[in-house]
Amino acid sequence: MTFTFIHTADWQLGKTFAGLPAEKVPLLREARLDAIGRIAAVGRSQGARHALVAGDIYDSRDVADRDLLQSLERLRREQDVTWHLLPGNHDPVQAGGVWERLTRFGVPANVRLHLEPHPQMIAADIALLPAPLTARTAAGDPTAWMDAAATPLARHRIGLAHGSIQGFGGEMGEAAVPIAPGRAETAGLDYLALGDWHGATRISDRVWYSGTPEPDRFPDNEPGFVLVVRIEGQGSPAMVERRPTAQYTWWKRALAITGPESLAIFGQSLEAAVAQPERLLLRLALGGTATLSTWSEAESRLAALEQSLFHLVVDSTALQVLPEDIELEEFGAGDLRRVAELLTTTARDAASEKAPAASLALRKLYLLRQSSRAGESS
Amino acid sequence: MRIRAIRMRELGCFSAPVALEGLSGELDVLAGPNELGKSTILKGLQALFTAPHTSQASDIRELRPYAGGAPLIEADFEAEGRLWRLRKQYLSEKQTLLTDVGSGKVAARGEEAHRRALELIGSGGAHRLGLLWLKQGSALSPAAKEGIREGAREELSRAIEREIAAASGGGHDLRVVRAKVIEQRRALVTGHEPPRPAGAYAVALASRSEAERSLEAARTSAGAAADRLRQVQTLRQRRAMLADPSALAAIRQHAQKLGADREAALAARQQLKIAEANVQACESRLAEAQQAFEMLARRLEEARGLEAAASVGEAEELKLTEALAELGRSMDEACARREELRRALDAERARLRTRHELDGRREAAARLAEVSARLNEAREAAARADEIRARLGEERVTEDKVAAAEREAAAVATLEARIAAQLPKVRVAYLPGASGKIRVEGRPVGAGEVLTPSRPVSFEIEGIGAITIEPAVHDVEEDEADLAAHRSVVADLLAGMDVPDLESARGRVEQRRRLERELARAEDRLATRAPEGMALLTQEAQRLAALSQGSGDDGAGLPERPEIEAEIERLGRTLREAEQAADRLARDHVEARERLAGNSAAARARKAQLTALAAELPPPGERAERLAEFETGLQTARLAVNEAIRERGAWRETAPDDAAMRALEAGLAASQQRERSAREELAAVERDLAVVERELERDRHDGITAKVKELEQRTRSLDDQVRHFERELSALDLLIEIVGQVEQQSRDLYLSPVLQRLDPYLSLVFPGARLDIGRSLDVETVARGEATESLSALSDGTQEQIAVIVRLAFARLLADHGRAAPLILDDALVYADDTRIESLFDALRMAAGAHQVIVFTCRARTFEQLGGTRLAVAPWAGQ
Repeated sequence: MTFTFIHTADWQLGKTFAGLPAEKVPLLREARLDAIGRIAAVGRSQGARHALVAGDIYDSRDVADRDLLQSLERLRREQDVTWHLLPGNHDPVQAGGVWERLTRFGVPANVRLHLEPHPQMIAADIALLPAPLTARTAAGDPTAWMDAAATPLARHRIGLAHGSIQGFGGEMGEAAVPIAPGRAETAGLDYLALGDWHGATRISDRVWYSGTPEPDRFPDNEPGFVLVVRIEGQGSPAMVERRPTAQYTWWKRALAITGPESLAIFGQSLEAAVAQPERLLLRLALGGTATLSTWSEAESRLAALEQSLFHLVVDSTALQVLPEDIELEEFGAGDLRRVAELLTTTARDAASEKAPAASLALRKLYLLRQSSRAGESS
Repeated sequence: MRIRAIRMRELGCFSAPVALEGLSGELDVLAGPNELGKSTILKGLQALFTAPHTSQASDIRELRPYAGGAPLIEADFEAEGRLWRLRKQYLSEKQTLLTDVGSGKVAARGEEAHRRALELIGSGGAHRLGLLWLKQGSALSPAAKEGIREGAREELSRAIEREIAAASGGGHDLRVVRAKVIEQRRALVTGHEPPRPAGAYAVALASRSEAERSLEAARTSAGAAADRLRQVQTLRQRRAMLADPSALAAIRQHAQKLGADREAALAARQQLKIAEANVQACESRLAEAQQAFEMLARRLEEARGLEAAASVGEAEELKLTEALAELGRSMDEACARREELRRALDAERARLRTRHELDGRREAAARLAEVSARLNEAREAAARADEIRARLGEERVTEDKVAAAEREAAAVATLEARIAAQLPKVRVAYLPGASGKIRVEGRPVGAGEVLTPSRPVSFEIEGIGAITIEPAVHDVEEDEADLAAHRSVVADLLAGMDVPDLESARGRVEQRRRLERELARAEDRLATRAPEGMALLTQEAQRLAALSQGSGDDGAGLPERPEIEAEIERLGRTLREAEQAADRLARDHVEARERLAGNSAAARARKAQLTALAAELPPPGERAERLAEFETGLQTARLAVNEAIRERGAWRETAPDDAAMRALEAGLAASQQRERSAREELAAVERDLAVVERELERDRHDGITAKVKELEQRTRSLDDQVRHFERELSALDLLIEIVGQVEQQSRDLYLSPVLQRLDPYLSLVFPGARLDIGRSLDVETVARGEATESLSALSDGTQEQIAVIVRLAFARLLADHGRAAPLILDDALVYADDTRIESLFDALRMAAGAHQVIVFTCRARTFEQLGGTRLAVAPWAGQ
């Protein structure tokens, strides 16, 4: 008999999104709450009656009561799904923490809090081995106890944990909580559902990070999914399927300006890739070398792009702007030309620490010249 | 441009139309007094070639005469190979008219005429310069006052820069860029570099600082919140431990057990106290029984002793009574013997006194003879001594007086010898037959006579004359005076002693000494014979005489004193023995009497005691039985004591001692305290927990974790902003720096041709001098030889001359560029001396070959040497 469940994590409800414009924050916060409904919909569509949430359900231990109550309401509303919530490093089990408050508020019947590291039978022959965190960091592996945990009534053992898998070329995850990569084998787990890494990531056949269902930062991974996990026969690998749940897309892109067409091409690719640009948050790092006219045109295009996206952040500190010789003609033959030439020389000198300033000064000089011309022509 | 004619009306001092006609276009000179209107002409030209006719500027309004009017200015000038006439009228009659004189056609009117005119005189554009001038005294004034309006000098400098910038292109744009860049920079920082208050940079910095502070505070709060979380955990664990019912029950049971132990211990200790009291009571009763038994036994023994003593006492009393009577008799006998001996002793002592009297009388008589002999000898010695003393008292010669007289006599002898030695000695010898013929003071001098005259003495020689001898009288006279004085003293001393001469005095002294020796001897004899003094010796003699006179009894038959004294000694000894025996008997009698009295008293006391004992004691027949009863009671008491002690020993085994009791009490108190402390601590933990939970609730309400994240993000964002502004500032600073460099290069480029044009004029007027021209085209220093001086340090004349030749250089530069502009000098050479002005004239003449030079001067005679075309102000023909 196949046991199907949803693996998700890192909802981080109540996140404040500091640094974004104030008017955009409520939309992003609401989208995270809405993710509960979308996850339930996925589960419903895939025949999953259980959703394992592998930690960091809340953004912090002192998240507002309003966020807690709203989340409880959303969970309660999805009654056909049993939600298994695990404390992570953002919302560890602590006195006065979110779990205590949730308990005080009253947890819906379809919500099960896994606050102790003890096996729980969540279905007739399915044992869930949760590894709740009690602090932001942990010196030891919170899943270590699973190796010796007996589950005589279970045909399948599913681990639920939050932390960083060790030994994957750097810590996989942000929490300082080490998890042994071979835990699934040593503990006889059919599946180890992990949280902390915000991108959906396969560690092994039986070990996955689901990532966050709603991205919350400009990622280096693939957020915005939940995993539909199916466990069939004993010892057979779990079948894992990614399902998108993101409402907003967060992109971090680098664009090397090579010519006037660079940004236009980028814009086209953007249009092709993003169905709803109004829900795209884009951090664009400009690099390369642009002529003055290219840069000027790029500025205009970026201004237009900003209007079409939910949010645009441009970092052009790495962009080197250098005029072509012909562009220097625009400064005339007199002193202004001479200034532009001197600045160009400095900007082109990669060894000069003044090169970035010279590049920026050139842009200013160009704008002033343009402005002056516009004034003269008018 | 070269000006050929100037005309004006209703302008300054020229209300009427005036004209300067016939300008050569090279060197034109208008000489005349100050009131001629030269400066007015210059102002008119400046207005004509710079200000549009529509100008309402103050310097235009000031052109109007006092009487009012609309200033009208007209000039004919050559430009671009043709002669032009520019006519402008200001204020109420605004107009501009540019006419091509050659064709007589109006080339332009109004604004167009103004613009065309400017193009003709310069090379086009609103800011070109068509005219250079130097006003009277302006070379010595601050730059701002040089022009017809403030800032004109700067305008001139800028105009020249524009000329050069135009030549190289972009100068104006560069200035605009620099101004805008500086403006942008000033929007960020002040001139002294700190961020401009309220500027975006300052706001970003302040916001970042504020955010950092807030972040720090939030982190601190977050840390505190984390601490509180840990605290809650700890407190809850503690509460669980404290509230654990089994632990509480264990504490309580322990306290109860200790309480029960304490109660049992207290009961045992109470029983012990009772047992101890019982022991004390039994011991007390035993002591009482013992005391009663011993007292009865002692009384009975005492009664028996008294009865035995009474029997002995009676026998003793009888014996004492007999002994007392015997002693009375013996004592009477001894007293009689003692009285008899006393009487015999008294009689013997009377005989001894008589013996004493007789012996005394006999001794006095023997002694009286000796005393009388001594008394007589003493009396004789005293009489002789008195006599000698009388004689010595009468003697006036004393040894002192004689010694004084001898000292004076010796002085006389000394003086006499000295006088004699000083005086001449005249010895007279006569020839035979001539004796006596020599006379002194009439007295003939004997042959062989020696005279020692002490004063002039004349020896008269008969028939021959006189010889006068004059001794050295001065010293002799003094010695003679001293001699006389000493002799007088000697004489007085001898007279006082009543002796004729010193030898007699010495004899009398010797006699005195003999008397004194005799007196000493008499006094020695007197002292020997009557050492106690004459009076006492006399009294002793009288007393002895009285003693030796006695009664006629001579004591015959009376034994001698030793015999009597021996008898007295014997009798005395016997008497003392008798008295001792009597005393002894008397004491024995008293003692016997006292013993008898004591014996009687003791007998009475015993009787009284027996009576008293008899009252206390049972009748003699019952006494033994009573004593046995008392002994039985004593045994019973002893048994009771033993029983009580055994019981006390048993309780001592059971009851804890004080230390154990204190330990028990302390244990109970500690247990109770633990229970109490546990309850109190539980309450305290509950309170603390409530407090910390409230604080946690507040932390949650504050959203401290979210706040930290938000502030971290905000700080990063503001940091980005600050870095953005820093990059902006770096770019602006670099831009300003580069613009400055290019400007400097342009100036250098410009100044080079200026200095090049300056050289010929400088060589003419100041040979060997060098000028340093600064950024504002001002001459800053003048170097001559090794010395370099600032322009302001130079004399007025030198400053004035340098200002002129610098303008000549500017004008030459413009002329060389094909844009010749007339240079108008309005009384610009006032201080130049004759020598220097000649060289200046040379310079002006040289300049006039390249461009027009118009000279206005009040120094008509001096400037006659300049040459050039002389101008005159004349009525404007046709007006």
